[in-house]
Amino acid sequence: MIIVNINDRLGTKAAIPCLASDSIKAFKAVVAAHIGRQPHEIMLKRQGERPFKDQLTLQDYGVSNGVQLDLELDTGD
Amino acid sequence: MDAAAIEQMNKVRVSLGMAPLPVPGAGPQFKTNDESDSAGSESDDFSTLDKRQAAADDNWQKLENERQEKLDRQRRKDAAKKARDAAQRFTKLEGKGLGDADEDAGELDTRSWLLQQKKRQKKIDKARKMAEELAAREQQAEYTSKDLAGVKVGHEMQEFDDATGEQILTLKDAEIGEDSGDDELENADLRAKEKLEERLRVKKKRPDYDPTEQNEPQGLLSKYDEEIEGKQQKRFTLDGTGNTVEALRRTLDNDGQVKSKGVKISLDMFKDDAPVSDYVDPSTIKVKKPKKKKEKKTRQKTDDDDDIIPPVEPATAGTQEADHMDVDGAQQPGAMSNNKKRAFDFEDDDDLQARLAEQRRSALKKRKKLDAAELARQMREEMPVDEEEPEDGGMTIDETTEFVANLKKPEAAPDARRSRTPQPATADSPGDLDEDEDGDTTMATSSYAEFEDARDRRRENATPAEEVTATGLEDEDMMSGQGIGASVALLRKRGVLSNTFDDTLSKQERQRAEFLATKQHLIDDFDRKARLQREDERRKGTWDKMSTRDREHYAMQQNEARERYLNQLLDEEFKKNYKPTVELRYNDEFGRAMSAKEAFKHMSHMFHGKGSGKQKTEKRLKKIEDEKKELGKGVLNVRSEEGGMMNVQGREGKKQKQAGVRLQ
Repeated sequence: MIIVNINDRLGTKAAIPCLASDSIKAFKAVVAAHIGRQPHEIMLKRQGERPFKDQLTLQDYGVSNGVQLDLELDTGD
Repeated sequence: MDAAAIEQMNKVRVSLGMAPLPVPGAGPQFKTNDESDSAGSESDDFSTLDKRQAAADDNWQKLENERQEKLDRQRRKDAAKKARDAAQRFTKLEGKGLGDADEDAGELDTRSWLLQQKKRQKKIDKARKMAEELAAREQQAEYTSKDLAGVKVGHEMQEFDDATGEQILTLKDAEIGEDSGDDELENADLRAKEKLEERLRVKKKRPDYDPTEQNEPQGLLSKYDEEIEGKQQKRFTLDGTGNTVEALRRTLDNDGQVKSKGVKISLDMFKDDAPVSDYVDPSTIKVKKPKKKKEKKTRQKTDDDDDIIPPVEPATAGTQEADHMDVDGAQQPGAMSNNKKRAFDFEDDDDLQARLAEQRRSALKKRKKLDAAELARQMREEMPVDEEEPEDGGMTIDETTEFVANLKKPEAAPDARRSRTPQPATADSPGDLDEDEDGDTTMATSSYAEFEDARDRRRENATPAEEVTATGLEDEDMMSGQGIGASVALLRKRGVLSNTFDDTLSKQERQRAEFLATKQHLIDDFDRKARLQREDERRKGTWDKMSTRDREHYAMQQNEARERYLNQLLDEEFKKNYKPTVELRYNDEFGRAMSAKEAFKHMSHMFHGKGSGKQKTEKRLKKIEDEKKELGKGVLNVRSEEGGMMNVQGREGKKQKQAGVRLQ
């Protein structure tokens, strides 16, 4: 069980416990439920990198305990 | 992370369908490992990600250990080597040093030392001699093939054939202390060749799967076998004599059964491929002789002696044929015998046709005879012939009468409508006149009452005018009944034709004709006069007096004068009466008529030698295309929004460059 920090840099911060083997899709759903948004409005990325794809898992991206991910809301369609 | 937050998160996760997080208080639940562990704790089970990771860790650990061992080995080897070298070095230092005290002799004087010197010398010589002898003995030891017994050669037997001749084999490099048991010989060239071939093969990057290969399947991922199980060393062991141990073993085992590498094919398999003949072998056909079928027992009331007659029947067939010729007589026996005959038909092949003919004839006779008269009578009886004429008094209504009734003269229909439309037209005109009069004069001359009357009248006239429908198509209906004049008037009203009723055209024509006529008259007169003059001169005899040269000169003069005069006359005539209508028509390269502006543009382009740029030409071409499309659209496009009768007003207006809507 790892704890991933989600930071919006605009005020939205959350620390989400999850498993490293969770898929990004499921993780986005959890984050969305946490902050009260729809999963398709959310984009997760590392700072300065490309956004995370739904098909992979947190472990594939090397997201382990204590890693901070950027959250972007309402980018895209 | 406290348990409450995790519980909450677990709720969310479960609602989304994900596995719940492990709550720290509970701790991991392990299954008991009795028999439920079907997968086994072996490292070959790769079902879950974690197991795979564990396996990966194990592999890593193994590699690490191996590396470590290698390092240790190396260190140990170095240490051993070092010790050995040191020992070797120190052997020199063995024995008594020069400074060491002489333990056995104690104090020696010079004489005794000198006497001992000889002994010492002898000892040294002996040692040296022994060493020499040993070396010599070693040299003398022959090295025969017996010494090579049990030595492995690291190549395949096939690689040494008679063609290669004598070869020098060297000891293969092996690590000391490890798996190196026996010595292994190898040929440097062969080894190099093998290495080269291996490199080339690897470089070629052959695909792992060859669909055309016909070997038996080698097992899963056979290409990794070498890597997993280690390179198979091909080697053979020499025994003391010139043979190999393997060969000996093989001869002992197989007793002449040499295992060949190829697949044995017996050539008999080709024998079966001969094509089977399509023809049936005549010997195999069994022809069955047709059995004499027993006669069917036909039931007939008159036949009492059924059993007796059949064998007699074929014999008496010929006699009974004559009886059948009788039509009406001998019906009874004929029928009887006919039945019998039918039973026999397929037996008696000779009379078959005759019998069948008999049957047919009798059947025909049984039917009634129908000749032409009979047929006609029958038809007449069948069909009811209606000969009565329709009465003149009553009215018959059928398809033809209806059709005829619907035909009408074409003028009859629009007549009704035509009577209506001219009325509002005529009603309008007095209204219009009144309007004009009202506008111009009524204010000044007439009284208010008259004005009122006029207004009322206008209103009255206006009401029938409201009956005119919104579309102006009534006019077109009017056109159809009357002549060209009506249609021309309609078009003029629309503005399609130019609206002026002027006689300028005819006037112009007349003037031109007059001009031409006067011109011709002038010329004719003048020619006549000239002719008369010439005749006069000839009569008078002016020609005879002159010489040829004079005559020519005189004639030339006269002609010139006449010409001049004529030209003057014509010139005056032209000046007076010549009024041509000049129309400058310019056409561009597409054949379109150009306006003055376009013509000027064209002229200036020609003058300057430069045309328009890209945009201007494209614009022009587009305009021309649109015009062509407009022309090509036509009237009959009923469906589309722009075609046909829709928006005729607008289209015609655009053509004549009239803005605005025409009020009816």
